[in-house]
Amino acid sequence: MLQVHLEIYRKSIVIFADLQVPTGEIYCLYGPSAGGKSSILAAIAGFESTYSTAIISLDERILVDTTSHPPVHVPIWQRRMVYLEQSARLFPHLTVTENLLYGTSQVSSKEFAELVAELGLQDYLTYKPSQLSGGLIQRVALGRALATHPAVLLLDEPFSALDWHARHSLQDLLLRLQRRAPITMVLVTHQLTEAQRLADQIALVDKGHVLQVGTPTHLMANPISWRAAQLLGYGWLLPAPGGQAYAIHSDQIVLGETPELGPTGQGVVVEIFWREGQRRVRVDLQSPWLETVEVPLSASDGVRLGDLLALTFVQPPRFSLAQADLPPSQKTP
Amino acid sequence: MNFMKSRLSKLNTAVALGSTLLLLLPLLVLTFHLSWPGVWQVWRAQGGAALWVSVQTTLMAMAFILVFGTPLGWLLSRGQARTWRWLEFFLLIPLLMPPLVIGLLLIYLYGPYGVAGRLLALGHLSATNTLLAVVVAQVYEAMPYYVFVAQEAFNQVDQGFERASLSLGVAPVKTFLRVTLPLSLPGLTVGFTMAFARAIGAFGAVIVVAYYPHTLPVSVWIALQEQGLSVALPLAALLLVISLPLPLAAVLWRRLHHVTGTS
Repeated sequence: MLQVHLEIYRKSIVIFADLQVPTGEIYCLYGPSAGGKSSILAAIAGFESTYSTAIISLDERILVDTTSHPPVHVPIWQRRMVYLEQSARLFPHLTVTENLLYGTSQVSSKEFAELVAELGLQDYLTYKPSQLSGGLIQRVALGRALATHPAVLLLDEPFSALDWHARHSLQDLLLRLQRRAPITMVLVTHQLTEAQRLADQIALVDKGHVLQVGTPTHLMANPISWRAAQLLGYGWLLPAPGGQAYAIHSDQIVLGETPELGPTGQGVVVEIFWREGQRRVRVDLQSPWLETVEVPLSASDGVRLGDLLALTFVQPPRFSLAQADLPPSQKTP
Repeated sequence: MNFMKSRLSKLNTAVALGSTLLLLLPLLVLTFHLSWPGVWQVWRAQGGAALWVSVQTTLMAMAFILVFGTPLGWLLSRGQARTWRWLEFFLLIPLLMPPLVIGLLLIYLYGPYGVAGRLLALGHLSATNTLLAVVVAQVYEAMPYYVFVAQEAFNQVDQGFERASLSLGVAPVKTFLRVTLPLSLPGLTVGFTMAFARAIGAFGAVIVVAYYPHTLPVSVWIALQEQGLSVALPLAALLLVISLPLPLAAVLWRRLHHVTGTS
């Protein structure tokens, strides 16, 4: 298990992280940009040393301990952690083969052939990085990292500069490789879809603090606060009994009134549009709390502008909220 | 507007061609005034010994510059502390100092009564009118050029490559040899050859600390003083033949290297 305790004090942000990353799992640091995720990852890798306190251990082996006397600080190249940045940084003077073998001391030709086949790089082994596309560059970088048999793979938004197709293809590849030979990975991303696709566990990081940790399913069902819910894609609040509020997610709204699934409401269709390949409607609920919501439609839903729709908000999580916690548009008049 | 642009463009081209001609004209003059049958004779009679002194001392000076200048260039490029920025500023002084002044100051430092001179004397060495004196003067004249070009060459290497290498388990020295050095090599080569040209052509500082043994530039000056242009010119041509090919080849190599996109 990788255990991390970090305190980094900067002028713009205070980063405080306590992480337990189980061996062989993909652990995702997810949150908005400039929230401190990359600094945490860089500190684990050894490239960030401005922390005031750091205790990092891997399987009982202490890598960094600023509280001990003398302080422990295992050098980067002895940590067995490969750090993969958004820009893959393949060595431009080396071929693909040379890049793949760069950090390895002994790789059998069978193992190398298997890795190359898995990554789909057979036709590019003699190429220089300048001759490769962005997706291929990331494949080589991933292969170069895996060839060293790292104890932990640290991925800092490795796919964010790629187009949709290349990104999804690489995410699938990463999962395939992970299932074939489980390896501990810490992945930083600001894309919720990527975090949910890849992670065994997600840590929600906001303004330098970890708000909540859990599996994608657990987090979606039980966000600990309205801010955590917002990071998970919840867009609206609905009054709930007892001075509480429901968090509403557009993907958890269904057409029709089904009270046993959750609270219900009615509204008028004011817009029909497409988003990420899915037809959606915007429904005006004419409520001071919840003016409009987005609802995904199935292929069989025949909806027109101006239609009156009944909606059910399926098992929304509940919070006790102070007025100050509410977004301005949702504050009660 | 287009008419104005066209006129300006033509004027600009004319000025550029004129400047090029102005700079290359002395070289053309050399080819016209050189009496080729006499060149071999002068080279064999007076050029051989001086050439040998210049080649020996330049090789020694360049070895020193390479060994000590490369780490200095590296630290100026990568050093985080403010000290390195101040050091960079002060290193401009030897770069900008007139060679003759360097020579005079070297006398005070490395001469028989100087601090360094006395230390050298303990090892039965002298930096006055010896090969060592020539090497010292060449180092002082040429090293700043190499250091600053090396610093710029290291600056050009994206530190992300070094981070990637360290993270892949490769220790810093090996990272330097396998990543930083190959990627900065084109720049280092240009720096090396510039320093080489500067060292082999060093005159101002050399003539002050080492009139003997005669280097090639000193021989050119002596020939000019004692025998006139007809003898000095073939020796000057020999100096060009020795000093120019390496820097020119390096610049050409770097350009070709860039075209193939391997840097």
